[in-house]
Amino acid sequence: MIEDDILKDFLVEAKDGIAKMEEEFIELERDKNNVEILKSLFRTMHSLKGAAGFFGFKSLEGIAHFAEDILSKLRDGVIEASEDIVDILLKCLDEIKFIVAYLEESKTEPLDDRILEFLVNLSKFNDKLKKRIQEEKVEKVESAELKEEIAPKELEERSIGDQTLEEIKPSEAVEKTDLPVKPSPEEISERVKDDKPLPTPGIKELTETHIKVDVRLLDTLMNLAGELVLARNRVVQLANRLSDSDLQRSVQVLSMVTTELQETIMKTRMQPIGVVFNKFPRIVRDLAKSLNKRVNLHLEGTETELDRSIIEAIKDPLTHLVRNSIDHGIEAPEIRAQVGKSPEGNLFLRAYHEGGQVVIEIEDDGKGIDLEKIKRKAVEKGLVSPEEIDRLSEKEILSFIFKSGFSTAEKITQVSGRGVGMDVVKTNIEKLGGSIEINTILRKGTTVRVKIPLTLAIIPALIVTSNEQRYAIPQVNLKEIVSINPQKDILYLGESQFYRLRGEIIPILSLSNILDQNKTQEEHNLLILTTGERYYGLLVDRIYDSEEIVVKPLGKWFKGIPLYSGATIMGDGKLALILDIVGLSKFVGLKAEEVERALEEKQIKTITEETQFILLFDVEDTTLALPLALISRLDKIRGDKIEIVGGKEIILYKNKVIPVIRLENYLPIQGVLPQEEYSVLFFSEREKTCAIICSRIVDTIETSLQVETDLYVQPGILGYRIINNKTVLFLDIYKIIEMYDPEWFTVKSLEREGPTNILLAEDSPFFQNMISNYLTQGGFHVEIAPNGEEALKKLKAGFKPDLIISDIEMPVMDGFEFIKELRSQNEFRDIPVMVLTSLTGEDIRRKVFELGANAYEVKLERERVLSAIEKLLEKKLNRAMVL
Amino acid sequence: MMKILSFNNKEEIKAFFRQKVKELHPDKGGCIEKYLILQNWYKQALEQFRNENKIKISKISDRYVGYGNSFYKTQKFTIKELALGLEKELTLPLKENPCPYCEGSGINKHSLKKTCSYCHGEGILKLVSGNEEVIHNCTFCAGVGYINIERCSHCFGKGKIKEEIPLKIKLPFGLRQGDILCISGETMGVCWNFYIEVEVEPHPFWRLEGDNLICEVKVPFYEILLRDTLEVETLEGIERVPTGYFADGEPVVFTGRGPFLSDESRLRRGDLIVNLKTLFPKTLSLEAETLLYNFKNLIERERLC
Repeated sequence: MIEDDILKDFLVEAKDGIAKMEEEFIELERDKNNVEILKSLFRTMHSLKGAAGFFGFKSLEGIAHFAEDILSKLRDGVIEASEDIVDILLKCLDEIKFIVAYLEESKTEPLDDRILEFLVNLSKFNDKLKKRIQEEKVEKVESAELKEEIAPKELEERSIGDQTLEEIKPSEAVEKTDLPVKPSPEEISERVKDDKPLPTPGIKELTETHIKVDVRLLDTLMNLAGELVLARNRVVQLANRLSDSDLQRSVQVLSMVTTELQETIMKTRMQPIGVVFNKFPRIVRDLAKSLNKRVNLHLEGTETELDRSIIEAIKDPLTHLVRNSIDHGIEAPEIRAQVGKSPEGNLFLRAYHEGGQVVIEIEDDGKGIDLEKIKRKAVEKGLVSPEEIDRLSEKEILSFIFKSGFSTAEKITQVSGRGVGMDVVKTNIEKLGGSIEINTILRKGTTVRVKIPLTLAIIPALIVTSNEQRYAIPQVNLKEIVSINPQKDILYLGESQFYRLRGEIIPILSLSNILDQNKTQEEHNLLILTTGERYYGLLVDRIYDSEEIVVKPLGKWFKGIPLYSGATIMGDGKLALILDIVGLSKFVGLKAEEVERALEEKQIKTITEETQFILLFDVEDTTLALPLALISRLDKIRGDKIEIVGGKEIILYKNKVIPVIRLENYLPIQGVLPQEEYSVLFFSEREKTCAIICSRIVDTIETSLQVETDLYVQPGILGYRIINNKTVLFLDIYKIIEMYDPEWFTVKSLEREGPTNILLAEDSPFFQNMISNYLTQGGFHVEIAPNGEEALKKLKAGFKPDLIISDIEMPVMDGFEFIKELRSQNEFRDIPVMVLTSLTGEDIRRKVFELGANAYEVKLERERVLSAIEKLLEKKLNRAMVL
Repeated sequence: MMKILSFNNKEEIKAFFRQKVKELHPDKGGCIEKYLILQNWYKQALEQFRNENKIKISKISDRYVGYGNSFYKTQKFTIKELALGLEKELTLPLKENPCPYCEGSGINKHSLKKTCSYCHGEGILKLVSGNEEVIHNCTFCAGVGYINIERCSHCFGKGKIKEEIPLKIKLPFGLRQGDILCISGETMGVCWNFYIEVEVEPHPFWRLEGDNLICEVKVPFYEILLRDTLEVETLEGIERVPTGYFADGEPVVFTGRGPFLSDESRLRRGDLIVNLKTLFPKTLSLEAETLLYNFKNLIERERLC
């Protein structure tokens, strides 16, 4: 519950305040006119009153209120701190102490007549004071003229120096009249009559639950614990060598106690990041107000713990980043409304653990960073040449932000944009051993991700060796250890090594390889490491124990090496380097240039955008594939339902006679053996339906239609491809049906004079075959070009098609460019162009028509494609006649 | 039967119920029917209070803001809403859903793709182990041949989106500018608390000062004399106040007609203090001045009489 937490905090604070006030009262007795002390007393009392008011502790609030009132008079010098005043103030403090102690025990205020009486007394005393002041004033009026010159000045200073004075005044006026626990007048008068001396509060000591400790003391403790761990490690090693069982036992105890001690000391240094985050509601609110913006703040992961020293150091950079987000990121409410966002911006502060590091994210849903603007600025500032700028990646462009003196803010505001800042932020974070990264989406928002090491000064680590040199690997990054046979278990892809771990292929590195050492022995031990995002393996010579190590920072000459994150002193006094697992992971995988080279050599036609759902099915032991879009229906039928009528196999399906096609009759594959039940694929085209029999349906997958065409040159087969370790044949359904019944597709077609030529620009061999097949069936002559450029070449070489059909996604020159090129040249301007694509979408459609295409069809719709072709050709004919 | 709302909390209802049971229980010779009605009433009363308690709202000091995960916003409230503790609809992130655009994956599937550097976009790894060739689905790109490199632009790669839902809450009494309302997330089924800072929407003639509501009435000076009553907008609506009340220049105080002060004592209210501000023309025509002069003389003469 929040309340409990808050109450606890309030009590801690109240106790701190009481202790402080006690000291100050003692000080005050020595020096009655010390304004500084009076001011401090007043402030403490005031905040105590405020907090008590929020919790509704009325008597506490009442006492604090009167005490504060008296203190304010002392502070302003209206009255002197006479004996009786200090006396009553001390009594107040006693009562407050009593109430707080009671609160801690029972969480409610004590219902004590004595306190009520004390309050009445206090109120009377206060009235008396007021009267006394008035009397003094009257006396002073005559002598006031002398003082007048100084007075206004004094007043001014006061109002500037002490703002709490102003804060309190308006409410004071009200509270004086109706104090929460004001007893009825009768009660007062009754008590006044009695006027018996007040009993002193029952002495109740406040139990201390928190004490303040000098941070340096904790730091020293931490260092000592580190040394102790080192000494312990040494002793453990020695004891192991001596193998004396008594010694071993006591060393074990020592070892355990040391670990516990060190963990406990570590805890004193860990603080939740909420300590920093909690400052931000106020910062955000004030900033938003001064910039006339509305900002909602989300704090997430406030419980994430970090080393105290890091918490301190991260405060300023974070504040700067938050300021940036609000000033540059989040738009003014009117602008947000215009672009369809809610007028209130959202700012997220988020912290979480990731692979032994703490990640802090500052995210806003503002306008994002305009990369173009940064590019311009970078060129303007001469940081990069205009030619170079276009080659830079988004990340590289964003990194300009961290350059000193770089600011894109058009006007310099009070908040940010002074050209200093982001570079300082970066240096500060890097000083902590952290890193900073910006992700931005224009018009959507920006995320700044700060990664900081936990810097647990002492961490558990695994000690390994490579060439007799020891290295430490932080235990958090280690997942498991596998013993392997390098000859058998390592898989190679070119130079890169992989290992199969329970069906997963993971890349592996050899430590000796990375350190550029000669392999002296086979590395049998494979460590499976994780960076938090990805797994990889590391081969090492030997594995030692797991040990607690004390992290020592590396000197600056080691800073640039990504392999090491620190060093440590081992039990024998020698040094070991700590491996940086994230840094190591950069060696995993092939370098970008390597990939490109490999791609060039292989010349793989990647058409990643063009994916289709493919149905995989078996005809006995052969796996075949068909685009799912071509199949109108899937079903199962019983074997005895297949009848032979007039020498042809048919089935009765939904009151229709449907001819059955057996693929083995047309392809060199083993036929379907008699089964009780067959899977049937139905294929419909203009009211005609036929059924294809297969043994079973395997799967449907979404994949690109890349096929190899070299092995199976066979009518009815478009190509093959390996899917899930099996060769899959891609079926040309149109060809098969044509083989089954050459008349199947024949429709009464227009009388054409001479053959009609079609130029087909299409990169995928699968579609090349399929489309050209059904076009040829339709009586067209088809010329194929693998991309726009090739098609243009063909045109220029003198090929005169009646129609051009073009795909959009093609390598070298895509469809858009091809059409643009066509329409810009006089001789080709009048050739009708049909765009045939698997990309659908209104914007694409619009774009192709804008460029000058005459039709737009989807690849697998054979029927529509054919009729669209007829229409285009007809139009062309008509136009020719008109001319 | 008692009205449920006349009780302040569950305890009071329980106490009332126990007391009544003693009278009405059949064992004590009470009427069964009445006893059953009481039982029913008790059930309802508890239910009602449970619903009311579901949303836990409290006013807290800003020094205690931000325990654990939290959501923080400033919200404008009208003076009327604050003074009367009315119901107010707030839009708060009350739910966290998987991002509908990337189905919680945090990846933009329709954007830039990078060819997988392991399988060169083939989706399969042809690995060599000794003399054997092993073909395996690429584990890095899950066999698709590419890796999506762009994060989902709706959830910024988190895969989750907070959904803003309108919520009606009854404002506690006694809220002022800068106060902070805390709604415990626990009662709303989320793991963050809500902190709402009160911003008072400026009102043309009202302002809150301490426990009181100050209302300024601007009237041309002659209207004060000519009219019998002045219209004053109180929290309960427009009321007519005899002009004579303002005759001696002091503000008129409507005791107990100001804002409600606290939830503990619902009957205590601050005062409504009406200040009269007189307006007068900057210049007067000669005729008006003469008339006014005559008027002044007349008044002085009458006073002499």
